[in-house]
Amino acid sequence: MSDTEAKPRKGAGRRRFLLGMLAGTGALVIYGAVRGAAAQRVGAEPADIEGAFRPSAYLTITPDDRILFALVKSEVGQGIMTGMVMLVAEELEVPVDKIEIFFADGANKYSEATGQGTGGSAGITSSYVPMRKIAAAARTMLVSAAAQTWGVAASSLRAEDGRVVDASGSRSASYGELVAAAKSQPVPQDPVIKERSAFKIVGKPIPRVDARVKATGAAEFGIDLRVPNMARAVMIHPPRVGATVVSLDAAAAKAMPGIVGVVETPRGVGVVAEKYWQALRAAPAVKIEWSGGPGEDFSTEALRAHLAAEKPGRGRIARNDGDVDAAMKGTIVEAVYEAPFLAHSPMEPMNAIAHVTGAGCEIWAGNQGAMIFQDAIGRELGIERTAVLVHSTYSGGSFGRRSKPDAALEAAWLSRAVGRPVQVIWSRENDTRAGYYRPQSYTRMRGALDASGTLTALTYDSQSQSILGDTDMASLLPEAVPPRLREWLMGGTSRLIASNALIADVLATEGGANHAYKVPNHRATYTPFSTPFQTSWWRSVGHSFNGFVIESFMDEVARAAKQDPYQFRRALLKDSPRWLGVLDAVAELSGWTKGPPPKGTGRGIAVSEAFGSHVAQVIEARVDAGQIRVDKVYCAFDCGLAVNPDLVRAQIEGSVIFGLTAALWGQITVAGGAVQEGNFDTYRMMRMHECPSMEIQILDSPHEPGGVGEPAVAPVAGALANALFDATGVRLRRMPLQPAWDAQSAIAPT
Amino acid sequence: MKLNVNGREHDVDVPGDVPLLWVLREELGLTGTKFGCGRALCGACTVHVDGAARRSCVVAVKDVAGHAITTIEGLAGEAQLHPLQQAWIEHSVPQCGYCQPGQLMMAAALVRKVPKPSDEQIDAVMSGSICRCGTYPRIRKAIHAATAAQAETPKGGDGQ
Repeated sequence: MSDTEAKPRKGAGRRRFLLGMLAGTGALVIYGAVRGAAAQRVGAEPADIEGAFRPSAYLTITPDDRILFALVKSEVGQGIMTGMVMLVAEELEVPVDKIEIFFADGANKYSEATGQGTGGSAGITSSYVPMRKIAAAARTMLVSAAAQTWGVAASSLRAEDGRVVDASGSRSASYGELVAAAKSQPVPQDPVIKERSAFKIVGKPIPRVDARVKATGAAEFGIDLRVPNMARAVMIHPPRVGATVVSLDAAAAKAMPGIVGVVETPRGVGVVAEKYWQALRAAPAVKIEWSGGPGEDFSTEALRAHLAAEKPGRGRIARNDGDVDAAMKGTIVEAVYEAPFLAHSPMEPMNAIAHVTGAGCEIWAGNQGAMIFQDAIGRELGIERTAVLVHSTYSGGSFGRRSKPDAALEAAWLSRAVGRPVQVIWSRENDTRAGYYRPQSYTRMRGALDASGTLTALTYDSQSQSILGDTDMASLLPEAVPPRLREWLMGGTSRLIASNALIADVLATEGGANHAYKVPNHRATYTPFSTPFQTSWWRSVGHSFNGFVIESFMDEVARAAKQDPYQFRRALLKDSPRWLGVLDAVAELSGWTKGPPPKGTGRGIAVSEAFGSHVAQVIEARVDAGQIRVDKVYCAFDCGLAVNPDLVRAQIEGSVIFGLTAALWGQITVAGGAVQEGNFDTYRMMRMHECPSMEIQILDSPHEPGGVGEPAVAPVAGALANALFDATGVRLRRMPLQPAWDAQSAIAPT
Repeated sequence: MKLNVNGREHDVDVPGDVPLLWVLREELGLTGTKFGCGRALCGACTVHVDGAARRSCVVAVKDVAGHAITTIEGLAGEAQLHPLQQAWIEHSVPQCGYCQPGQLMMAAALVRKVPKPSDEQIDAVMSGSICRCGTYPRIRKAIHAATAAQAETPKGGDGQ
C-alpha cells in the first residue's frame, strides 16, 4: 500500500539512500515485513511517516490507523514477538492482529525500556512492566486528546478496540483520528497499568503471530536476504583451533567462474563469489597450508585427566554455610559428574551480510544483541559503533549462539576486501566446529548422612571454563567511552573475572551453589580453567550441567539413605514453597506415589529453579538392546503468570527435547586441536521417532512472570540419569549418557 | 536448462551438477527452501519432484530438468493454504520456523500417499527432518488434525 509509505525526508542520511536502492530491487521487505498481510505495508521507519504519533521509540500510531511496534528482542523461536505484542495490545486496547511489527535496528533509543539484547530468558520478565507502560502512556494520551477535543473530562471516556469512546456511547474517534491532538499531550511519567485481574489478552493461549509466515516460507531469515550488488562467501575455517594461514594458493580457485576474490582473514579464508554455489564449487580448489595453532596439543581427553587430577576444595567460595569440615561424618556419599563441550547447532547456520563503506558499515543478521554486533564490528573496523547499522531478522534458532558476532565480523572483513556487500553463510561443519561452546565441566560432590538418614553436610566443587571470562562486554559501556578505552576496560573486566581469586563465577555455579535444598553445612567452590576454545551461553547456561550434577547427587544420597527420591527431596525443600509446589505437582501428575512403572522401565525425578521459574520433571526410561529409550516426560512448571500458556507449553516441549538431545548424545570432542564432530551424522539431534510423549502442567501461580525459554532444560539430564539408575541399577555420571552406557556395558562383567 | 517450478517454466543457466537447493534460492529467489546441512541429513531443503519428497541439497539440477518441482511457495492452492499449513498455524507449530518448510513438504508428501497416517507412519517419514526447537509433538498433532479435517472438507491445492 504505497499510499501509506513515507517519503524520504530531506537531509536523511545514507540509511535512507540505501532504502531507496533496495526499493528498486523489490528487497524492501528487508525492513521488517514480518507478517504476511503486512508485508507490503511496513517499509519505512515509523519516524518517517507523516503526521504519525510516536509517544516512544517503540510505538507509532498513524493518522490512517496503523499501529507499528518496534520489536527490540530477537525472535529466535521462543515466541517473544507474540508475547510482546500481547503486552502492548493489552494496554493499548487494540486487538493483537491490529499491530504491525518490525524488527528494530540496533540503536540506543531502544535502551530506554528494556535494552536490545536477547538472553537469560528475560524477554518477557524485563518487558512485562515497561512495555505495558509504554502502551498505557500512548492510550492515556489518546484519551486526553479526545477529552480535549470534545471538551469533556478524560474520566468520562474509555479506550476500546482502537477507539476512544464516550461513556454515554454518543461519540467515538479512532486512534488515527486522534493522533494530531495526542501529539501535544504530555507524556505521562507513570501511566497506570492494569491489575492482573483486568487482563483480556495477557494470560490467554492465543496462536503465534508469526506462525503464518513460517508455514508458508515467507518469513525472511538472515540467510534469505539479499542486498544490491551482494556477493556470497564460503568460509574455510582453520582445521585446528586458532591455526593461521602459512601459505595460500588461490590461483586455481580464482580462475573459476563467478569468483570475486579469495581473501585471507584472521579467521580463515573467505571464498567470495557472485553466487554461493560458485563459492561452494571453488572452495575445494583453494590450497592452504595451516600453522599448528595454539591448540594443536589440546584434547578433551587430556583436559578430563587434568581436571581429575586437580585437588578439590581449593576453588573460590561460592557458598559456605555452617562448618562442612566438622560435619562431614557418618555415611559419606561421593561422586564425580562430567559434562562436555556442546555446540548450539541452530538449524539456520550462522550467516551475515556486511557492507563496509567509507562512512561505516551496515550489517544484516539474526542476532541476540544488535549492540554487541555494533560494538565488535566498530572496534574491528576502527569506527564508532554508531557508524555500524545493524538490521535484525528472524533467526532460525540461536540458543545463545547468535550473541556472538563472528560470522558478521567475517562478512565485514570480506566486504572491506572486495568493496561490495558480502554475505557469509557457514556450512553445517563450520557451525559445529567454530567454537563458543557450552563449557566442559567436572564436578565433585560429597554428602554426609546422619544415622537418621538426614543430609547434614554437602560440598560442591566444580571446575568449568568461565563464560563471563570469555565474554566481550564492551558493548555494555556508554557511548561516551571511546572504542579503544572500551575495549581495554571491558576486555580487562573479563580477564579480571577470569583471574580474580575471590569471585566465584555466578554463571558457572548457578543451580549448583544456590539451590534450595536445606543442608546446615553446605559449601560450594568453583575453579575456572581455560582452553584454546571460547565458551558461551547455551540454553540454560550453568543449569545445563549443574542441574545434572545436583539432581543426580540428590538421587544418590536419597538411595544411600534408603529413602524415596521424591520424599527425600520434599523433606529438604519444606521451607521453599515454589520448589515444593512443582515437585508435588509432578509427583501427582506422574502418579509417583501410586507405585513404580512396569518392570524394566525406570523413573527419575528432578527439580530446579532457573531464570525466575520453578520446574520439576519425572522421566520414565529404559534400556532396550543397548539403546536408551525415553518413554515419557512429565513436567510441572511454575513461571508465575504465563503470558501465553500455549507458548509456554511449546517452550517446555522444546526445552525437554533440547535437554534430552544433550543428555543422550551431545558432545563436542577435540583431538589435536581439531573438533571431531561436523554434521548431524556425528553431532546427533533427537528426531521425531525418538521423542517421548509429554504431560505438562503449568501451575496457576500468583507470581510475576518468570523466564520460560530455558528453565525446563535444567532438570532433564538429572531426571533421565535417575530413571536409568532406577531401571538398570547403573549410575551414569558422565554426559552424554548413551556413550556412557556403552562404555560401562563394554567393561561390565557378563 | 528448463526447470518447472510451482507450475512455471524457468530458464536457468547453471552447470548441471549444481544442487537444486541453490538454484531455487539464488537463481529463482525461492528462499522458502532452506539450507541446513548440505548432506541430506536434516530435511530443511525438502521439495517435491513429481510429487515425491526429495532433499534438494543433494539433487543435481540437471536430474530434475523437465520434472514438476514444488517448493513451499507452491504448496498452497490459489485460494487457500494447504490443510497442513492451516493446521500448522492453528497449532502454533513453528518456533524459530526455519525447518518448517521442509517439515511441511515432507508431511505433504506423506499425506498424499497415506491420507490418514498413524503415529508409526508419521514417525517413519518425519524422522528424516530435524527440528532443533523441538516442535515434534506439535507436528504430529497438526498432521493428525489436518488429515482428520481433510476427510470432511475438499482437498486443498498442492501446486501440482
